[in-house]
Amino acid sequence: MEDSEIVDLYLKRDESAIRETSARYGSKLRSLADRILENDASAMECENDTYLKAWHSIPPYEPRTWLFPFLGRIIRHLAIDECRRKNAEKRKGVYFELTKEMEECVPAKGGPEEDLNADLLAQTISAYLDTLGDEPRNIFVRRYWFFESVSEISKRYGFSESKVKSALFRTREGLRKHLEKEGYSV
Amino acid sequence: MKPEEILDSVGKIEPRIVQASQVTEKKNGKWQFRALAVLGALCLAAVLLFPNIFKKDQPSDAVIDEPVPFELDGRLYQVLEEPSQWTKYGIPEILSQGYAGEHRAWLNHEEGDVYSLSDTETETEMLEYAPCVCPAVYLVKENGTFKAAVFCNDIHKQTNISAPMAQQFETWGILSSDDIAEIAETDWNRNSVTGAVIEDRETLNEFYDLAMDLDPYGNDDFQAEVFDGIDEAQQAEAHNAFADDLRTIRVRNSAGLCFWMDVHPSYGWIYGHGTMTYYRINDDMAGWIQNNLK
Repeated sequence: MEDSEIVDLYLKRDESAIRETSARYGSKLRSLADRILENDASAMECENDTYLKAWHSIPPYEPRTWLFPFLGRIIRHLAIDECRRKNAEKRKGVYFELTKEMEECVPAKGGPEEDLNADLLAQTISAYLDTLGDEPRNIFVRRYWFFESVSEISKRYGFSESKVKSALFRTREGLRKHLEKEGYSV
Repeated sequence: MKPEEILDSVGKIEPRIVQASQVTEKKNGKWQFRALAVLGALCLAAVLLFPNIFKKDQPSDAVIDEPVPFELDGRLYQVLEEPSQWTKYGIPEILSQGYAGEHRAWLNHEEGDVYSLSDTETETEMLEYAPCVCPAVYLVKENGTFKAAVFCNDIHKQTNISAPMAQQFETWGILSSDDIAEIAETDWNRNSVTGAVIEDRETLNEFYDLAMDLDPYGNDDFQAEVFDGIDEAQQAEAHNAFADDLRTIRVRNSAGLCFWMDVHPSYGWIYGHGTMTYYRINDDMAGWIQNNLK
């Protein structure tokens, strides 16, 4: 079933929407959560919670053309929350590894810190990614949105791992400069 | 701003950007390219031999006055102690943790500038150079300061080894023509640009494609091709004439790293530094050189 038809089912409050969503995107969503949580059972719980959240969010949302990113955003958020809750002390796992990598994107100390608006920051990051070529942009997204390993990304796109690492480094550096230019500070 | 806030916000980037990344695009031919390079690398091991003895007043990649090289994975590296030594390779003058990638090896640092690989953890760590993770450049971290370890030569078991041009390019992080940012003609000691600076994409692509097609020759085969049949009394003069025909080009990759190639246009040969391989210039490459290295 196509995304638009699945969204129609949600809008009609037809519970088969969840079954169809699971059939189309279940494994992708689970693997995204599993990468963050490194635990099958927890990933499955997140998947179920994602369907429930989608059920409550459509409407008002109508993600006819972006159903997977919509669901992925939800499960990513749920999995990260769960990961933080479970591993706050250990600080082990891919989430903390990527957080460490993201330190390179934190702008230098500058003006007064303002309350961070996550949506606005996401727009700024999107605008920066739009300035990049397909390769570095996609590599960045696979790493920091999908939480894929360097090895997975290199296989996906047929690049060497070295190239992926270098692209990530340059993109992180570029993002830091972009955030500084946009007035973000520590 | 905290790093986790940035990571969280990445989750909210525009859906179209996420969707665009879902296209799985494997670049056909890349594995063949790499396999060829790996095959070439497998042929190389153990003892270093320099092919440049006949070159007059010309720099070798590892001369006596320079740091003693150490071996890593079939390649030789020199640890450069001073920024002035590494900036000519396009490595930033001030190196810091921000340029450091993953751990690569531990080194023993003996007196002076003598380094060697260590099986156990030491105070001298060799790290990937994050802006361009490739076998040509690594960082050396010691007591909180950073130096550069730069590739100087493949290690050769025999004198007549040759490697495809792809191997040299790949060593310096060039996996496709897009990875070449600039080609410039420099003086023989590589310090300054003396001729054309080529940045035009089409011209760079053409160079890359032509270079990939050049036939590699090991040192013995090259010597036989160029100098066999010349009377022994005239050999030294012939070698000098070959060396005098030198035009050095610097190739800069998209991450800013530089390496050099020796072009001998009148004789129709290119020498690939570090590979101990000569490449016979064909008509197409000769045309490119004539048109672009003015």
